[in-house]
Amino acid sequence: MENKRSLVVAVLLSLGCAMLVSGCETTNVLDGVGAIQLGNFRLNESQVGAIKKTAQAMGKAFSDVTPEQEYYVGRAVGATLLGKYRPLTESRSVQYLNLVGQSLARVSDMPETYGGYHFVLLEDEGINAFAAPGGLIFVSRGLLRCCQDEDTLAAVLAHEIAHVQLKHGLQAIKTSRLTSAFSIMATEGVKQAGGGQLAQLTGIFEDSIHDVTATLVNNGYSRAFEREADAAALLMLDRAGYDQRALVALLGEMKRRLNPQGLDFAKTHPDPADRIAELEPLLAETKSPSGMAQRQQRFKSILGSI
Amino acid sequence: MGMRKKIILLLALSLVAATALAGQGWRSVAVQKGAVRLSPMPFGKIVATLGYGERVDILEEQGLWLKVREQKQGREGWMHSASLIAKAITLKPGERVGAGASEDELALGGKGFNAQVEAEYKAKGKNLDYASVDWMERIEVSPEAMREFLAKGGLQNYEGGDSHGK
Repeated sequence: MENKRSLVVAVLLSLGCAMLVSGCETTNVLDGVGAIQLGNFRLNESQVGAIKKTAQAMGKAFSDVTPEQEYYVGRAVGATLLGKYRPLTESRSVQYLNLVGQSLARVSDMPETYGGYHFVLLEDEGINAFAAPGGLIFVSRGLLRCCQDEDTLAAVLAHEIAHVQLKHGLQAIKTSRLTSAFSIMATEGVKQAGGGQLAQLTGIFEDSIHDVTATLVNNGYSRAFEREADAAALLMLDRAGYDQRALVALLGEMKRRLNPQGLDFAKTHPDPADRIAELEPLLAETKSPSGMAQRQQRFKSILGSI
Repeated sequence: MGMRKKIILLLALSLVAATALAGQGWRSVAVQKGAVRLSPMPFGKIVATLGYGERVDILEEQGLWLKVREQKQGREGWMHSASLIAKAITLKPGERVGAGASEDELALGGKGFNAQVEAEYKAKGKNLDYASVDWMERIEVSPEAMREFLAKGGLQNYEGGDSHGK
């Protein structure tokens, strides 16, 4: 009897976790649930309450960061990157880069974000691309030089959009920081506290931004995150009508150009050869997408001299 | 797994599914410019743009797209489910709690990392280029420019008709 009851609890908890992962609100799912009767097994209200509390505690992590908060984290990460590298502001190339980016973002599983997707090229000769949470995406001149055509550039952007969509940047923030932020936010009656709470939140914010930028610039994501982003990028390329093989071509070119001791992609990303091996089985059946020649031509005319 | 356990698992699953469905009546817009489109397509014509926190009622579901009716003016159209969130957003950006509110109240009202926290961070920080971030955020692509870009590049244009369904 006791075993079976714990099974029920385990099932409910794991479903709760699944809902959290899928972005649903566990508490909503259990809201309105008082006692639960399952066959001969009954969970009383306090047991259900305990499950709700556990689910809530588990929810106090990156998935509970609101779109608005994610936006402010992204802006701060962007301000840090743009404080380090100058953006290229020539209007024709800016517009073109954003058209390629938007054509992909719109067919992604997250076509809109709080502040929207925006793409920019950076004056940086290293091979780099960064995606700040919320959709600010940065590509270095060095990485642009690895792109032979529009489809390869699209592969770069699709991979970065995937990091945004999968919230990889936010997940770089240490959970303890978010827990502290949530507990400050949950504090009632702080009207008289002057700027104390604000200062505390700002301190946590600063540390969180550091977590994200350190991951983007120095440490890189886990291999699993890169694999996930590559797979999502392939889907986006296919939906948009770009050649999926452009991602493979890009990785091949990076492999040729990367200085293994470099402080750029070489340091923050898995070996391109390994990524290619993991991508091969995911490629859709060979088909040559139409319009390659026209796309290559406009790519050369707009970005060829950059 | 024994028969009994299977039954328990099924019951638990259906319970969660039922309560999840019951909660699908409305959503809040989770983005600043929530596009309401004529058809459930990535480039479908935009018939309305809703602000962060505005509420919509769910009328129909088609894959990742939801047919919605905004609560304020009753306009209908399709929104992508990723632009919506199944919880109430009580304070919109720019909304003020009241004249007597302390800085802290606003920070809490706007839920944590917000414009005020950003202002503090900016004042303290070195080598932060927020002006370039603002410039970057102003980059827009018009529907006309997008249509032309897709057509000339031989790319997919999902403006209407059948869903991209992947």
